[in-house]
Amino acid sequence: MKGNSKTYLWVLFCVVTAIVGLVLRTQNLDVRPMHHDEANQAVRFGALLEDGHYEYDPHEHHGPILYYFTVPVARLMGQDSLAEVNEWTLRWLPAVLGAATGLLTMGLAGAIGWPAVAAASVFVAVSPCLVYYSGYFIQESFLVFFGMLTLVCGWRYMSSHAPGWLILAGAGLGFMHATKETWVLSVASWGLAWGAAWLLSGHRLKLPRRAWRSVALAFVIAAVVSIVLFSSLGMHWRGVVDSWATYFTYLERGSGTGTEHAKPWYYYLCIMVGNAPSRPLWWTELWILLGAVVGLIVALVSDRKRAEAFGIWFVLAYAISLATIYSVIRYKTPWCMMTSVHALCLAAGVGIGGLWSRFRPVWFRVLLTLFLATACGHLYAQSVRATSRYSTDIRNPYVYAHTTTDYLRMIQRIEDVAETTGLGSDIMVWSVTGAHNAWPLPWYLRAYNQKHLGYWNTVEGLPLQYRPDIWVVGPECSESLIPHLEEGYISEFYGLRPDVIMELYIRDDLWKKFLDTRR
Amino acid sequence: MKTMQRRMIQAGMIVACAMVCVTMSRAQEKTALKVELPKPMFVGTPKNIKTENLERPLRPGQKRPAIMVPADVTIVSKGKDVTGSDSAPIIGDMELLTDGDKEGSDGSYTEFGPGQQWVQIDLGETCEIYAIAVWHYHAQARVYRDMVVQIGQDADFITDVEAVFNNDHDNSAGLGIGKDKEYIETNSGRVIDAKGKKGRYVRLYSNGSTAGEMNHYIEVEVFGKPAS
Repeated sequence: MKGNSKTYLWVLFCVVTAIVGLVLRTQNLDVRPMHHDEANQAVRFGALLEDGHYEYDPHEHHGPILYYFTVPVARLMGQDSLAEVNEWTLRWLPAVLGAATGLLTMGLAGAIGWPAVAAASVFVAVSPCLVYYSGYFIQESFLVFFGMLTLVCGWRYMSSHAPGWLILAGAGLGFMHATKETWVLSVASWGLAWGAAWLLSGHRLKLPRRAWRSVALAFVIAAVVSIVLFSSLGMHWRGVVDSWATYFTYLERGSGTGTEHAKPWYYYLCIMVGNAPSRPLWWTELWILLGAVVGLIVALVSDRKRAEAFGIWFVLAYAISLATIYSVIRYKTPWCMMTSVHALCLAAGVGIGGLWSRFRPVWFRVLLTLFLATACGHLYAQSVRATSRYSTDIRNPYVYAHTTTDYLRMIQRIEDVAETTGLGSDIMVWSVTGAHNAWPLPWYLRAYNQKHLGYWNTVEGLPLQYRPDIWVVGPECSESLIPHLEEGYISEFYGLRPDVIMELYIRDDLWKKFLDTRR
Repeated sequence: MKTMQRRMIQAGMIVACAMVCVTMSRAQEKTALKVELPKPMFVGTPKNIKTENLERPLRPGQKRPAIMVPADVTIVSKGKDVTGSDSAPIIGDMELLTDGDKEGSDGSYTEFGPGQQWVQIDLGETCEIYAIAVWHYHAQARVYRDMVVQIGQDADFITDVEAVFNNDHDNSAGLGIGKDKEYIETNSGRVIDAKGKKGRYVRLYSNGSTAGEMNHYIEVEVFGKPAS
């Protein structure tokens, strides 16, 4: 009965944690405007959805998983074309996988103990970084999920020697490869962590006899998964070669050459530590860092059995090595933190679990629970803030070159003019924006007659003899285009990103018709 | 001796009258309004925006035309009661709008909810209002939308309402189409010529900015004097 009660409590805990993680990630999924990168990938996804066309690009857009896995979601929603797809369809799966990662974390209970996985899964559920980017139509959430799947299945194989786990781990590895090129960083840090855990715990994991067969099978499965996806289900074999050739591109990008995203080593650390508490909004994930440091201290002073110590040292070394690798790489965007933050959540769990197991007095455990509740409450509040009112606000540290809500007013203006003038989806909109400011416009104009839309990066080659209904002009092109638009158009301006303002030119006759409806 | 005394009294009265006249004429005499500006928070403005709806940013060293006000005009809004459509600001509180702190840093501004919002200052008595200076947020270059500034005699703005500034060019706020231009926020804020209009309340509308849907105020200064 006692055992049953514990099981029920544990199941209840898992369900509540999963629900909290899911609710946080799925609320307001369609409120935040599409980021440049999301919109770009959404249009690529549209080609796959409508025509079944996908080709891996070794220079941009990462692996095929995001696109292929979103197709069934769209079909389930009854959406067969890009015009029908909405933000919810695109962001739903990354959000669900983000919440599922918290559940998967429980699978490491055999390695680091139940108290540790419980704390870690709560941190995963409420971490603002993990919550915020789980709501993006990007690859990161998939990478964290498949990384965790591989790790848990690999560990389960080590402890149970059941080959089924290794086959699942192989599939997870293949999915990781097909998700994003940075999968190699996770695998490298596992290798480092393995070595460190071996040295520090003195424990050597024993593999069953003839384990090489299962290992080989796992690699074959990983290869099959990867080849099927990169070859676009056998339609673009060049993709398989490119999936490895791409590392030349990413090696150069990682060194910080030719990219505007080069940042100092402490960039991610600063986001985790956060701003000073005196500021009106205190953003920080210091709680998780603190938990990881405690985990390290507890591991150093404890005298656990070798087998237990191995799991704990593995997780700590994994978190430290992955965070170090990502910090050393000059190319940094904040969503790349997700795998490191997840690993740090595991390490923080080790810290809380270590304290729980080491100090048994009731008063201490009550204090520890209160501390955890406070920390998670603060993280939860930040996650709510980050995904709602501050989802595009630059004071939110996770907002990075995001489209402002003012941009949605521009889209609304185009819609209103199209509607009030009777042009509807046939309205002619030309966009001349410069390469960096072209997105997310194609996403927002996806339901219009595409033959009436034009996108140019520069003014050169523009057929200026035509007078489209609306021009969208970026700051780089404005100087040379304005002389052509000074007569016959009224102009407005809208924020695209912080400090990037777009100009909208509406033909006079359309503007007058529109304004008549507003008087 | 008595004649001497009488003459001295007469002379004193003449001087006193002359002084009163001079003082009165000085009160009527207009001087350029001086507004104390906070420290700038950013350098430069968004690139190359030249739409007719947006006021050109000032070149370095360039100043806007001075607003001429009577010499005895003071800031009549300092410490006065502020109310608004969003009675529970997200950050800061209503008092920050009239506390005299115009710095752009955190802790100096009040953040109101999304969409169209208004704030209102009760001057406590009817005043002749000559200028209204407003700083929304100047830590970043942004433009606040549908800014309408009204002076009113009653707290509900039903009678004797006069708009002294309106840059809502498409009437999205529903307060009429405005002819004023939108402008990029800087530490100079915006000083609006109110031309001595009489009223007890000043109401300011906005509808988010190019940076997002929130509304912000650092400070509002109303320059005027009690109505005679």
